[in-house]
Amino acid sequence: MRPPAAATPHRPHARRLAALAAAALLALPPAAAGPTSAEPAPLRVEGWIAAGRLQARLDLTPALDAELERRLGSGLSTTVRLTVAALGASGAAAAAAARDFDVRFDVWLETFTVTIREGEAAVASRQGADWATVRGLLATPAPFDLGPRAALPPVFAVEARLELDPVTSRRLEKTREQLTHPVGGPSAGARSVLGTLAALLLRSPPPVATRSRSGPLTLAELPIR
Amino acid sequence: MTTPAAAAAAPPAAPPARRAGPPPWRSRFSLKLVGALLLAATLPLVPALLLANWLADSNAGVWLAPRVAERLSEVPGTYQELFRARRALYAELARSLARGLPRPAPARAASLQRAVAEVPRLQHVELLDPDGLLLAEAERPRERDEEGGWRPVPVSVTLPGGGTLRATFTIEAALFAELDETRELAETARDMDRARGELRRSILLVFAAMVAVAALLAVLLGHLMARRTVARLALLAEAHRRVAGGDLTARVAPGGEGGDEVEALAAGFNVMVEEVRQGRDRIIYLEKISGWQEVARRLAHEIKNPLTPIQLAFQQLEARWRSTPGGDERFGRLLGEAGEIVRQEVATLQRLVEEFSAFARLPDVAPAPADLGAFVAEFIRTSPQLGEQAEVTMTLASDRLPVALDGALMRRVLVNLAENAVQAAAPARARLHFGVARSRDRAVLTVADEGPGVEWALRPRVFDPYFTTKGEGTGLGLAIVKKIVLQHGGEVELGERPGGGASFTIALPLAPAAAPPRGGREPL
Repeated sequence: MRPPAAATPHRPHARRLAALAAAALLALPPAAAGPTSAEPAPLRVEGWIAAGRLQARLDLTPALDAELERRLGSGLSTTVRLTVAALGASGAAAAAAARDFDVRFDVWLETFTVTIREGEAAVASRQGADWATVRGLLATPAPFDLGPRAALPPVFAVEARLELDPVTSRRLEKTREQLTHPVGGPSAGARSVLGTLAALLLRSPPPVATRSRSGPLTLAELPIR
Repeated sequence: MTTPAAAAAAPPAAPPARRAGPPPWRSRFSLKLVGALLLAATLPLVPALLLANWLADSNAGVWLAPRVAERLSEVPGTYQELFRARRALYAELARSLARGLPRPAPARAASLQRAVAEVPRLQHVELLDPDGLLLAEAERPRERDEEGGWRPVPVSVTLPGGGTLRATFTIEAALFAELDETRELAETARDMDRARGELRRSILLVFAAMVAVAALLAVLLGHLMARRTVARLALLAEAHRRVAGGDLTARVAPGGEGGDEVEALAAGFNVMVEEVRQGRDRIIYLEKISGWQEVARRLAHEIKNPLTPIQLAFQQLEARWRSTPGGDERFGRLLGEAGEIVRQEVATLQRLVEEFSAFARLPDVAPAPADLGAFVAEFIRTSPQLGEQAEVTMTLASDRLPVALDGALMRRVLVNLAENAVQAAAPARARLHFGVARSRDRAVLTVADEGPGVEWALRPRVFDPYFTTKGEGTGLGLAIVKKIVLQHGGEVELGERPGGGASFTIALPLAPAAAPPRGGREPL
């Protein structure tokens, strides 16, 4: 309970101004809130040690719902970012790896084109794929290399974060261009001062991800292949 | 009211205050001014900020509307439906063509030719036997403007008796270009929608920065404006404080720009202080004169009383000597010489007593309407002895100078000034110049001579009673002049005549009806 406020001399003007300022601030809705934290879904993981490094194969089938199929089959280029991390007891990531799946459904050919990237480099590509193939690529992706065994805690959990359409640096740059040249795009040449300033201050929005987490894995019990 | 005469007669004013009071940033007035400008500059921006927030929040901008992004993302699906419909249509057309093929081989080629000519979008058709050998084909001639404008859609139909009919239809390539453009647009809209929260934040930040810049400019502008005004007001306040402490020499340099209110206030303050100073000096002088009049009255009384017994006693002594025959002849001569001395000194004392009495009995002024120019001219005309003693000239610069004056007393003023000039010029013949003019709301009378003038150091004392630079005289003449003038509400000052000589300037208030309004032009 708060102690009673000390008596202060009356300053009607100052109080009125303060009240107005407070009302103005309250009238502003809060800025975009970050992602809400929810309990992660269970994740099936097969882990092993190869050449002294932790390898993890995930089964993300439960995370791939019909909405994902609708989104990926919309005909737009869609990126699915899969981030896998080995979490220690404190929840801090001891190791992590990420992979982007650029998926594009050709509405004429009615087939998918999938490009898999790690960082900026494309590591695999598949054209003319059907949904079952794409789903397979996403549900059971190639094993992730989670780094040297020595860097891992004795007991850890593997967490997968599936993020749909993250605002990548490339996309952020495009958005900035759109803000700077709202009419006709950069080729039109017309530049908006407000848009330019807003583009300078634009940041990546916080990620919205679906999380799944495995049960505890004991490093010593992992098979060596 | 300040006049040239009064200004010269007044003790020199202290130099105007230049720097006083708190610095502008600590002045409450400055803070209020800066605050007012800050509010004036930023208040309009607050609704703008709220409006920007509303725009961002209600997605008034097309790119920020989630429905736009959603609908755009559905467009490729619509194209997909269109493409499927086209494919189905083309497949049905091909099947229809296969069903209508005639049996004889030559007739089939002609049928295919007719088909490419009649079936819309059918570009090419070929008939293959079960082994894949080409039996017949037809090609629609490609028109020049169709080059690159179409995309082929192949359709294959298995014929009932074996063999295959392969038809190639076309679909507009523009549809794919539109699809690509729409897809790109939809992806941009989706990205914008995805970053909507951040966009809103950045736009609000830009507006907030604009508000901050406007506020900063307002503060700087307010500070610059306040610094000058507050400094001038601080000078005024400092001068006011000095006056309140009794220093009536305090003045303020207006330092205005284009005659603003502060400048008018400073000018008004200076005039007010000058009037107060003159009023105070007048009161002090009149009180001093009053005291000297009392002294003169008592002196006259104390001196006058023994004079007659002295004179009578000496007359009796002389009578007794004359009535006693055979006296000492040398004593008789001595008595005669002493009697002459006593009579002369008693006469001098009697004259002194008369002057003291006259000074002590100066009557109060009983003013009556008069014209100053006419009054001076009348004085000169009715003073023949003045013409005998001096050469007199008169300059009348203004026609009408109505004043309120006591004719007898003011005449005495002129007599005293004229005598003063005559005595100063002696033994030479004096040259007297009377001048009458108007100065703002004053009638100004100047009495100047061409004598030796008065030393600068002695000028402040010439109007003090009993102060004289002449061997003879009581030193009351100029004191009487000043008292009479002050009682008329005027001022008198001693100056220097250009070309040499003394110049007395008397400024009397004009009668109200004749005084021009403030700021009016003086008659030339």
